[in-house]
Amino acid sequence: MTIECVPVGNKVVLRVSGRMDAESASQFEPECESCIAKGFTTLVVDLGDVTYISSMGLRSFVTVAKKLKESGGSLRVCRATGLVRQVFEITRLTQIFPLHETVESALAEG
Amino acid sequence: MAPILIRNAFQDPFICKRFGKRYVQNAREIVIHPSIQSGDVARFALALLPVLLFLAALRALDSYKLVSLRTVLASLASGAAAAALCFVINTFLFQIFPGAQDQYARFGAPVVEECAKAIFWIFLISTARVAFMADSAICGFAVGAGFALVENISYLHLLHDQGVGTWILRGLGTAIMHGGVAALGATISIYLLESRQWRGIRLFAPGLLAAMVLHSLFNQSLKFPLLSLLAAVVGVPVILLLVFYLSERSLRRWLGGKMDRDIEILNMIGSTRFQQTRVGAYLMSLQEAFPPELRGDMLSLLQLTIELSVRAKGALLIREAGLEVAPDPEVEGIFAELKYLQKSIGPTGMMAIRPLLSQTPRDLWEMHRLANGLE
Repeated sequence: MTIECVPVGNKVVLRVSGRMDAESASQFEPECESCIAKGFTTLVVDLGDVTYISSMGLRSFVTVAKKLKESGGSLRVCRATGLVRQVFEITRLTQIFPLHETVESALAEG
Repeated sequence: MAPILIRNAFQDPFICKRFGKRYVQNAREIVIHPSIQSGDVARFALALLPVLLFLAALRALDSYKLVSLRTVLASLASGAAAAALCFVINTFLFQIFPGAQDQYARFGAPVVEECAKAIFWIFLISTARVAFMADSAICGFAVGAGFALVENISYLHLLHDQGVGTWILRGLGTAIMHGGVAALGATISIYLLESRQWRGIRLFAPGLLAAMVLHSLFNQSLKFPLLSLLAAVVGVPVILLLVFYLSERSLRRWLGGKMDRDIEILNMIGSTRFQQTRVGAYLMSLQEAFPPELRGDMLSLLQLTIELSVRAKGALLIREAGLEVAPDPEVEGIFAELKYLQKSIGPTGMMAIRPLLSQTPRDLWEMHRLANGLE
């Protein structure tokens, strides 16, 4: 799994690609924390190239969303497709961070 | 009401010790205040408030919020009902064996009382309403607290002229003991259920036996009230905190492992490789026995069951992070669809796909929670 961070104004887009399984998901949380430490309070996670997400990946998303919510920020998820989208919808994690179709719509929200 | 209260006191070894057998034997001559005084209420609160606060703290400690307030209240009520039932049984046995009060209080009462308290926690476990050590401990403790509540009410009159120390020893110590041993009994049963080494009614025997033995030991040690109070007040919280730690660790491991397996099956069902998987190959092997539309229903049932399982675990993940879970408007429709599919597949078809459907106590617990709106 690879993660690329692209700052866009006062927000940051994290482009994730590959499988977000138990092993690789552990990279995601520190990457988000590093962005939060740099002062970004809105994180947009682009999951367009993610083919699989495990429970560990989902847990990381919930943890980061909670941290951002506490600091007045938000986590936005976009371009999730196939199994990844299905898992987000079935688990109803979308009640914490709604899914967006594009990076632009995620950045434009709020 | 007053004679009833006096007779109930016969069964308490503390009362027998404190007042002496002669006093108890002549109990019918005691003049009892018919009204409850403000000091009694304060003593009653002193004996029970810490127990109820401890119960509330246990519930707050449970980060997954496994037990609803409704279930806690039902457990308290069932404990109170168990105390009433024990009163009837104990009174009856006392009339049959009037000379064996002391021995009965030490050895007989713990058996009768733990059996009565166990009715509800065994019901909760056997119907998959609780499936983890933490929720079984909370419910078991609540049953014991409900029992102590009624028991202490019955002692209000009898000990109304006693000091604070007596109430702390008698009320608080015994209340914690009642909650602690019932919690331990339920937790041992869940542990055996998890390890899958025990099945059926004998699953509950070791937990129930442990509760009876500890209760009996507590009653024996009433010769040393401070020691028994200390054992209950220190021992029970330490044991329950350890139970919570182990339970959360086990739940976290189960949550991750089972969820990953469910996601993997969902992935397979949606892929072109499905027929090469174990589940796909099994469904294909049924083509001789069942028509294609029925096998389609079987696949839909499997998918919906797994989706429900993932949905329940999603709610646990959200609760684990300390966030609120919103009501799920789709669940009712999914359960209706499941019911339709089960009817369409029929009993023979359901037997055929049983090997594919996970039916562990925790799976049944998930379904129960979802069906009840995650309580």
